[in-house]
Amino acid sequence: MRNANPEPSSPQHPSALRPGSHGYGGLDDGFKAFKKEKFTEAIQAWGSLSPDSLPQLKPALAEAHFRRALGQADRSAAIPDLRDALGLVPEDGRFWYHLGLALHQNGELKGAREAYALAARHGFPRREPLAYVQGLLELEAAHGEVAPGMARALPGLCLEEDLIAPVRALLMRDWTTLAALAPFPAVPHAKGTPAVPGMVGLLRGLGQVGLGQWAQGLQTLGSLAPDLLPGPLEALRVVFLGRALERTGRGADARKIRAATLARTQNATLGAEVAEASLAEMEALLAERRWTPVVPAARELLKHFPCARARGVAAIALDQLGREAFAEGRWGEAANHWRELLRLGGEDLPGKAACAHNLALAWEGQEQWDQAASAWEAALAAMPKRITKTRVKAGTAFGGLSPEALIQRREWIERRALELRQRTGMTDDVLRQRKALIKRNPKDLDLRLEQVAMLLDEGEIRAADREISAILRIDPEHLGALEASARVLLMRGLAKPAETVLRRVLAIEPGRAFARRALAQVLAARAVNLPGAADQTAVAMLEEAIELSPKEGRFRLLLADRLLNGHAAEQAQAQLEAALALGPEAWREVFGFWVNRRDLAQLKALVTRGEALGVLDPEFYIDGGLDCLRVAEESGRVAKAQAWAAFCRVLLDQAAAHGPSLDQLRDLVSYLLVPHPELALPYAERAAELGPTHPMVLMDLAVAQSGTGQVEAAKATLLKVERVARTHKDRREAASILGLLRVIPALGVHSLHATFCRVMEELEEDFDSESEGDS
Amino acid sequence: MMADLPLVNQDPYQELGLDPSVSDADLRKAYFTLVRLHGPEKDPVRFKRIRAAYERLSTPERRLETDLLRPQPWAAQPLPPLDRDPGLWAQDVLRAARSLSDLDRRHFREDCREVKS
Repeated sequence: MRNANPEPSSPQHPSALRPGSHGYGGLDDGFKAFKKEKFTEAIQAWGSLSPDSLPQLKPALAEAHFRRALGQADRSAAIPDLRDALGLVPEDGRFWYHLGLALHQNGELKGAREAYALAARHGFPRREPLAYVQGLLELEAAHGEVAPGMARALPGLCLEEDLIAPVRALLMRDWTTLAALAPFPAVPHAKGTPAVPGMVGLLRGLGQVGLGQWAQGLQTLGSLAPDLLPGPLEALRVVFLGRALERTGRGADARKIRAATLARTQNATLGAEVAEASLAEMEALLAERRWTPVVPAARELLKHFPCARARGVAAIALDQLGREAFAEGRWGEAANHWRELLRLGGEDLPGKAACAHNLALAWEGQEQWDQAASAWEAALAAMPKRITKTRVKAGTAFGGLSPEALIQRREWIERRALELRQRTGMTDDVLRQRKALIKRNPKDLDLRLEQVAMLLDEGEIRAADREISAILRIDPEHLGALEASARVLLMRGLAKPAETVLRRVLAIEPGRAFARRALAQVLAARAVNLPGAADQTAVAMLEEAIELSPKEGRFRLLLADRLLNGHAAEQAQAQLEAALALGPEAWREVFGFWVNRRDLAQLKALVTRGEALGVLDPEFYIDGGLDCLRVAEESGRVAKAQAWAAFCRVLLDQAAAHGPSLDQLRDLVSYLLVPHPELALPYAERAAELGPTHPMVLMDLAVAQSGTGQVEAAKATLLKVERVARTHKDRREAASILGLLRVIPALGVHSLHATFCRVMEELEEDFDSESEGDS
Repeated sequence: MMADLPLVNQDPYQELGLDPSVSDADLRKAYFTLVRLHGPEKDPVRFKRIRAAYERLSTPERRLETDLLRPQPWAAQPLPPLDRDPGLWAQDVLRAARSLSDLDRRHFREDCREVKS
């Protein structure tokens, strides 16, 4: 056995540091620290002195840097110290050699090659290990062309005589040579490096297994203790031992030993073998359409052995799971599977557009519009971008789709993404993206019109106007653009020019609904503003408005008003009759018409007629009653006010008699409560009958009772509210009732103040103590 | 106005028992066959569904939308072969060879020199 750890060689540069003679305390301190192998302290002590005044200091300081570098567990951390040592003594081959090792291990092959060459030039004494790592470096540099690279580099290997043949055989997979190694030769190793026990057994075993001598290989490799060999050699042992075990019917043992070794050591061959077995299992599951167990198994495999086949298996399972979830409406699950598929496949995923498309649908299912829009955009980005006219004409297909179909799909997806962005309220983004889309498709006038509509909604009138002009330059009779143009003119207060544009639209297409309604409104607005002297003109304009939009009762009422003012009562009545024929809503409008004209007699007649026809509902009575109440409040004359108030009561009683909903009653009570508690009370009582545990209804009743002097009844009602709050199962609801109670003082109901305070105090105490209990 | 994602089990192709790649002529043929089988008087509910499905698929724009609101077929590529060296990976041999070299060593007493005072 050769000497693996020769004694330290005698120094070639004996640095005669004599601190006493120079009188430098730092020298002595450094020396002491060096002796104790405290190299950092030594470097600090010597580093504070000037090496120029003490030339013998340089080799000592360099040695301290070198020693500290050798002590680094991580070789790359040694590089600065080695460079410092070389800065002091550049001709020392040892420093170059170790710098080469550090760079080599760091993957910096070019720098390592240079450092090794300089080590050789400066006479690094251990020539064989140096030649060996130089040979290894060349082998590694030939990565990608390994076999020829190895063959070229082999002559460069400088090994012990008895190691050359086995290592060459291993590198060239020459199993015959390895299997023929004598059972107990001297242990080979690189000259000048420590011996590796078990090496020969390993190489022979590899050869035996390589030659298919399974039993012999099993015996040879199995006899080596697992901790005998360094990690990479032990991994080789397990690779070949596993093969021998498998061939001798011990597949389970092979799997076990491979997995255990792979958990400790990195080895691509072993990883591939474990992956192969695992993939075979996963592919069998895929064949049985059992997708679920494949995904975690593939994830686990990819952690240790990232390979395209495992990614492919995982992708198939994820896609199928996504489809199953989607088909059953489990959108979130589908999105998760497809998202993982996209992540796993990365940029090169085949069919990425389809995957992103499906993910977009899954996001839409969850109403996650923003994510859905992003997924649609990803699908677009993955589709072919340049679809030239030539290619369209040539009918060149893209992934099974004709160019025309692909263009249609692209456009649909672009719009879909835009619309989804619009749903998220990200108007700026939508405007910007649509602008880009318009730039690519300037003749898509529908798209441009969508942009106009959004710009107008956003109040960007100038930008909208520019877009409208662009559309009209392409198609001067584009009806949508002309209508939008009229809208712009109206927004600028230019009614007359708007009227001209709208008339132009209707000249092209008389039935155009928007233009008809808009023109009717323009005419009505203009007619209303005409002075009384221009009755004839106003009447003509309103008649045209009615003709344009006959189902809008408002125009008929405006016309009836003009006609009545002009003493054409009969014609006015005809318009009112026509309005009433439009439906229940028109009855409310006609009621409002007579209220505006303060004609109580006509109102009473209208109500009598409506009741006879059965067209009046609680809402009509409530609205009508409140209209009459407002007139009564505004009226300066007592008699008139009383008459209107009396009719108000009649209408509200009718409302109550016609079975109003709780919400209708609550609206009525809240309107009447503070100014007219006596009016509100019967409706509050009726509401309390419909909602006996509704806290807000009860509180309204308490306030109405209090307002009408029924203090005891009000207190009892308030205590009822307290009971409702206490018995409420949902604490948040109960807390909100408490919040409602706090409103009472603001209503100025002084008679309830004491009760309110007591109820609040007790309730709040209870809530506080419960909160403390919770905490 | 964009259409929302169809509800689960509202796939018009499924309703008509057709593949999404069906031609317009075959679509029409299948529709009339189904309508004869499930007439408005015989099976009004099914008839209504068949008609709605046909209406979605017989208009090119609506069919495009229907097609794009369904999960797209994702043609999984044939699984690539497992990337492995038939015998032994070169990188493992190199790693083993390294373990015989100074690259995997930690102690280098023979490379150190004494510093004498």
